[in-house]
Amino acid sequence: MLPADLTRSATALAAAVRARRVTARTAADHYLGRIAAHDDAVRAFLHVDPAVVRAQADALDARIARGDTAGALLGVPVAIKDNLCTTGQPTTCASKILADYRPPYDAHVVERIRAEGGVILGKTNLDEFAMGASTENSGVAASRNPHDLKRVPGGSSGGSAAAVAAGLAPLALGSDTGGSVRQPAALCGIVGHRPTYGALSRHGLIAFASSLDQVGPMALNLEDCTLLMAVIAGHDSRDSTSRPGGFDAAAARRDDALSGLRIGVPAEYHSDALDPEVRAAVRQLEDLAVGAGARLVPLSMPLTPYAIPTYYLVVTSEASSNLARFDGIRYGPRDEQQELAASYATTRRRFGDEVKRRIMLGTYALSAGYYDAYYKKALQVRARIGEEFARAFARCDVLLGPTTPTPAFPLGEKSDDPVQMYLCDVFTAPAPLAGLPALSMPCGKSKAGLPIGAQLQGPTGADARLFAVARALERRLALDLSPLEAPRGA
Amino acid sequence: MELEPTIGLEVHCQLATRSKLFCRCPADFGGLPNSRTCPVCTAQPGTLPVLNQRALELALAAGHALRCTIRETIKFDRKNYFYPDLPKGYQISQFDQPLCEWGELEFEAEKGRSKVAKIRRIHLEEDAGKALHPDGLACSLVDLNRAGVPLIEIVGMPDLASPSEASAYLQALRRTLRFAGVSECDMEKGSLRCDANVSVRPKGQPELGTKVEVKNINSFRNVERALMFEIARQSEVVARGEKVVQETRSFRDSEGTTVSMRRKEDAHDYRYFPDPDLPLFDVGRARIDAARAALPEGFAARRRRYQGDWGLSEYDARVLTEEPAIAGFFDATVAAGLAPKAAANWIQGEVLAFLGETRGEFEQLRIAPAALHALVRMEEQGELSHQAAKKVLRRMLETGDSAAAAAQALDLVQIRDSGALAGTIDAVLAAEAKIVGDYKGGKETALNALLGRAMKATKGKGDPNLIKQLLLEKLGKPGG
Amino acid sequence: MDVREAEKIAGLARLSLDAAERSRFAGQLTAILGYFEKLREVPTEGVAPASHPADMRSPLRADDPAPFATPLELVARSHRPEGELYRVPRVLE
Repeated sequence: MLPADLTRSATALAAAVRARRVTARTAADHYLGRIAAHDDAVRAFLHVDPAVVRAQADALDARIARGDTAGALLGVPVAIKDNLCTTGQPTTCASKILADYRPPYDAHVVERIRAEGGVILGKTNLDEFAMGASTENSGVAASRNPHDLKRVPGGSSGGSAAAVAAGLAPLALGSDTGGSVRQPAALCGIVGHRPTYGALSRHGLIAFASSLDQVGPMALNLEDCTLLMAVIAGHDSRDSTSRPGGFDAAAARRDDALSGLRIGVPAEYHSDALDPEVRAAVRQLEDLAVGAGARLVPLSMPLTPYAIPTYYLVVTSEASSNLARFDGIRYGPRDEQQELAASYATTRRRFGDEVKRRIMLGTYALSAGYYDAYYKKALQVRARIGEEFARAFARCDVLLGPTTPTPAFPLGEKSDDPVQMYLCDVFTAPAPLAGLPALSMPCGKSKAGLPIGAQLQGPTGADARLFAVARALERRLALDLSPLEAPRGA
Repeated sequence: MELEPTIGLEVHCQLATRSKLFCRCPADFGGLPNSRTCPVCTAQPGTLPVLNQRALELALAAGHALRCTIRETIKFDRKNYFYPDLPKGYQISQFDQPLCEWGELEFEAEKGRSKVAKIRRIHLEEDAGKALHPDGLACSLVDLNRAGVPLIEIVGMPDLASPSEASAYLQALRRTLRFAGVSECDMEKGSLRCDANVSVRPKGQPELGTKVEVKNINSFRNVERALMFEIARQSEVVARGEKVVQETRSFRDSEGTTVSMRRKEDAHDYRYFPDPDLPLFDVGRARIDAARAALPEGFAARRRRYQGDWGLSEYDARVLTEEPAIAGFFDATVAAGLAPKAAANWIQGEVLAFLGETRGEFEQLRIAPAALHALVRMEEQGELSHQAAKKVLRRMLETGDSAAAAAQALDLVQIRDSGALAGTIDAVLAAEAKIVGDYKGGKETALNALLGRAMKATKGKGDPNLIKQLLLEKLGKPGG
Repeated sequence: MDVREAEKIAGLARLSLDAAERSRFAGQLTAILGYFEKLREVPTEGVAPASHPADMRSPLRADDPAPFATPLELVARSHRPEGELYRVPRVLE
């Protein structure tokens, strides 16, 4: 077992492995043990192969013994959302249509983790094909919030968030299309970052909505998130949407980020629908920032409520096309059929309801006669949302607000009403439409002990600055960011 | 009521790149099934497209060769439909903003009458794989080697007035693209495919009739056959007082007919939208201009130059511009110093004849242009007789030997040394006393007999003019 | 969206729905589409549709082939391949 100072900091763990205080195998066994003890309750993971994990750790220990201690993530286990391709393990997007699929290649971000000595710990649960905000749409099982097992961990990267919060993994990768890294991070009390579009390669991220998807690092604290981000960020020539230029880790670690900072506070982020405890936690953060030398800039972003319908039209349209390749012909399970149409039909019956709904919506929005009214209109509103952000960032450096309108809701509460579920994304949907970076950090807990997250948004390329600002706020908040000893509320 | 046809051709042509349009698989023809595939072109989850620069450059070359207007910024769109040979469930193509628009192709509609047909658009797209339906098998089989191969689609306006005009247009288009280096345009190998849009209307009526699309025309010969059948079929429908149904029909080679391809009516909603994996491309003025500057000379311009600058006949000019490799060889031979007319004669006469006999391709020619020039120079300098030169060339084509080496090997270099010949001539004169006597008796033609004997004695290598001169020196005038 | 339209859309997407699903989805999708009507409130005349952030441009790749090392492994992943070929149910032509 690892001591507490090494389980609350992946950075400290890597340093300890590098200094040979602890072996990679010890670290791996620790997390495998935590998974064995607690994942039946949390259901964060879809696939964990202990033999594969130990083999990676043993190989690292062998090279460390030879004196080779290179690698920023040396010996650190990382949980990977199951929509990222990993060789040697299944990648299923929590969907029956990809049951047992084993990709022939690693995602770029997975290659980067391996290259820096990280250990791929296992694949985490998600809403099927990343479509959802609670992980209840998983085609396998729902994950649970470790802070209260009767509540959702958020989605779609619910498994990754729950794993980190419950101490089942020190670091995790998620993916964010409309909030799927930030919202579960907020509901589970951890840090989650959505990078500037193009800052991370999508090669190997199974596509949901191509113009919005981004891989995102998830961790207990800002230093660990910075560490992971620095490893996985960077240009990849296999992705035409990948931007040149990397992540400035040094700038992300600056100390004085709050002094003179102009913090935009949009009026629309404090509507009546906002849970009062969330409102209070975010207000407290604003006060802390002002106390450290920042200035609040009240502003209005009236297009905010239109982000959700815009988002859902764009993502469903792109998804309806991205998911057409799942026809059972080249991979995935297939029932024997005599005729092609029947084969398509039985194969694609394996999609869950939410996936089918979104495919149908997208097909409809793109179809002849409706394209201008729906898809084209959505792209025009998207352009205007981008302009609205640009005008806001002419007057401030970052935007601050809640990540979600409420803390974690009970399992089953929203799963019958799709529109209710969509409204969870009110604060997280706008930034992806404009390709902007956004980070969620823990900023307190409700009286019931449920985590509350605050979101910082910045202009294109401002990832390092968001990290620095969040880091400064984290220090002043001085919350206990340790992982849970055991899940609660069983 | 007299009916006239209108025809427009849609031609798909594979670009002469080494790799596919959006992935790095080799784009060559053939290969074992599925050996030229990768995670990208088999649409494994999580893979992404990256555009091949050479494909863009070749598409620009096509646009310039066909005198189109070219867009400086382009996007790609997804054309969504389900078929086993389309791995992603969509084809990456260009919908409403093609790379090139509004060009033209001048071609010889019939002997001596040239016509200009308008090109509506040229766009880039990826090819699909191949679905095979073997007889007797309860399933179909899919080979994805061709999936992702780069294509341009060239859409012509319905400007063609007859099947023979359509065939002439297609020949000219093929030659234009080959001379521009864009594509091999080989229908056998599938690097050129042609679909036709055909309608009929009363003569003189400005509006076009109902358009029928004819697919599966897989050879040049079948272009005219398919069109003739379809025009006759439509004319018959109209003559019966019925309306032509707008549909897609497939050409059946074995019967020479077109048959209706049954399609559900909603199958055509392709739900085009801009591909979100491919943001806009800046083609750029600089790249467009560079492509125009790099465009090789077209076949029509070369014909004019060969006739105008070098005085070649129209026939010669046509033969030499049949294929870019021939024209290129000809130009290079002239550049090496050979006179155009001589070069033209040798290439047409001996080189093409040799290729015809051996079923060879010009691209595989084993001699360089300078080598042909060297051979002709040897003949001009009297080292080879014309007949000998032909034999030497043949050897050069077979083996790749230089002119001098081939002439040596065949022992055909003319003997032009009087001293060397003197002995032979004396021997012949001694041996052929009767013919000498005839000559001295006044028979002038006896000289030719002696010349023949002397040539035979030198195994044909003697310089006939020199031998004749030496004989005359020795014998004096006839009858003398 | 009525049930007939839902059936047509499902067909385009190769989704087969039973009668219960058709009517359930038609209802849910109608509600969602109704919610989307909200976008009509946003004026967009003359606004160019944005597929990506405005400044994004795609790169070009050199025409340099790099064959995938194990292409037949990809075929092996499929359901009952026929040698080196993917097998699919008969396509009715």
